[in-house]
Amino acid sequence: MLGLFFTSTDETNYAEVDLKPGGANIVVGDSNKTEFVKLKCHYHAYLSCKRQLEKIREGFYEVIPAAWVRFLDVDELETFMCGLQTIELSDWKAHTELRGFNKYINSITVYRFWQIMATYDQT
Amino acid sequence: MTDDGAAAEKKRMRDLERKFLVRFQLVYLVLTAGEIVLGNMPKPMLIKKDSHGETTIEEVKAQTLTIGRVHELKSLDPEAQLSQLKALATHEKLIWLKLKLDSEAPAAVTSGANEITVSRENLLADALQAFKRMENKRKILRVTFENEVSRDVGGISREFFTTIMKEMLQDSIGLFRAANTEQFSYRVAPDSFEIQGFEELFHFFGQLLGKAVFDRIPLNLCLNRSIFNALLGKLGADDYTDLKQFKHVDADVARNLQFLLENQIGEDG
Repeated sequence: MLGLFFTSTDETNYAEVDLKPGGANIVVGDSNKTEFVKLKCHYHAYLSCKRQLEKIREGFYEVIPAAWVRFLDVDELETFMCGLQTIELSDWKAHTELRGFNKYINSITVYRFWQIMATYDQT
Repeated sequence: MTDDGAAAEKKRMRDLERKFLVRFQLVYLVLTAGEIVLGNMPKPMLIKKDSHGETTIEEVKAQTLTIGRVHELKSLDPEAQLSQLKALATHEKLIWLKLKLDSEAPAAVTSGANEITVSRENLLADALQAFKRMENKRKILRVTFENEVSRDVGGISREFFTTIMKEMLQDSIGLFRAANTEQFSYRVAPDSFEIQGFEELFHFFGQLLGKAVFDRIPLNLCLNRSIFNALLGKLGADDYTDLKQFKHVDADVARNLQFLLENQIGEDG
């Protein structure tokens, strides 16, 4: 028994919110759990902050109309706006142009630079 | 020949040379126009999702968007164009978006600039008011910080963007909050509607995001997936059927729901 119903908890006042009409009386079972998952995700990502997100959208579309970006994926929009979240060290290294160092002679300074970079994590 | 004569001769030759070069370049442009490769900026790549819902970036063999292809795409009706655009590789989509922004830029640039003055102490309130007064937000933004003598040729407005974004994301303001995700990200704080004037503030935040896209200012901030979803209009319940993607919104919720899906719970819960 999980005692799970079609509700979610409001993060501000801890009240139960129906995920669909009459959700407080509908038990989540094997047959309807995929629907529950979908509604729960939707609630968490959008419905719980609907008012705020709608305002962000409204402001954004004032400058960039929705039609300009709607063919993009979420990941792609994120890449366009914020760049890549993780830095690929080997890629960076391969595309680095050295000035003042001869690339055929291994320099201890350059070597140490990459060694130190490799010790950092992505955050 | 006198010195003057020699100098004049030299100048004539130089002019001729320049003329020839310009002409040569024009001819070259015309000859190659059909197959000019657009945009050398984005690396050919494809953002893909593996079976764990992890995003991976794959370098692809350079497919390129040619002018011919762009014209072809432009001539399509919106619906057909959308479906064709969706099928492009990531870097091609980004090139398309850049071209779109480029084509809109002249109209915004020639109509003058939005000049705003803000104080560093009262940055958020000042900027909010200034943005409210702007009619066309696509115009060039020129920022002056109060009591500072400097001319904004791009550097200061960038600084303005980073500073104000940082300020808006601060915990103490309460608009955003760290989300429960592996990779750090900011989500909208659910209780932020209690803040006075939150609607204006979020509206302003959206405008800043849009302006940053239009001016191609990279934002050094990690926003939650839910915000990008909203910007793309993915707001229906059916946009959230993929639980593997949901861990970028909230990892804990995703884990709990995954458990629910993988285990038999019976019909009566």
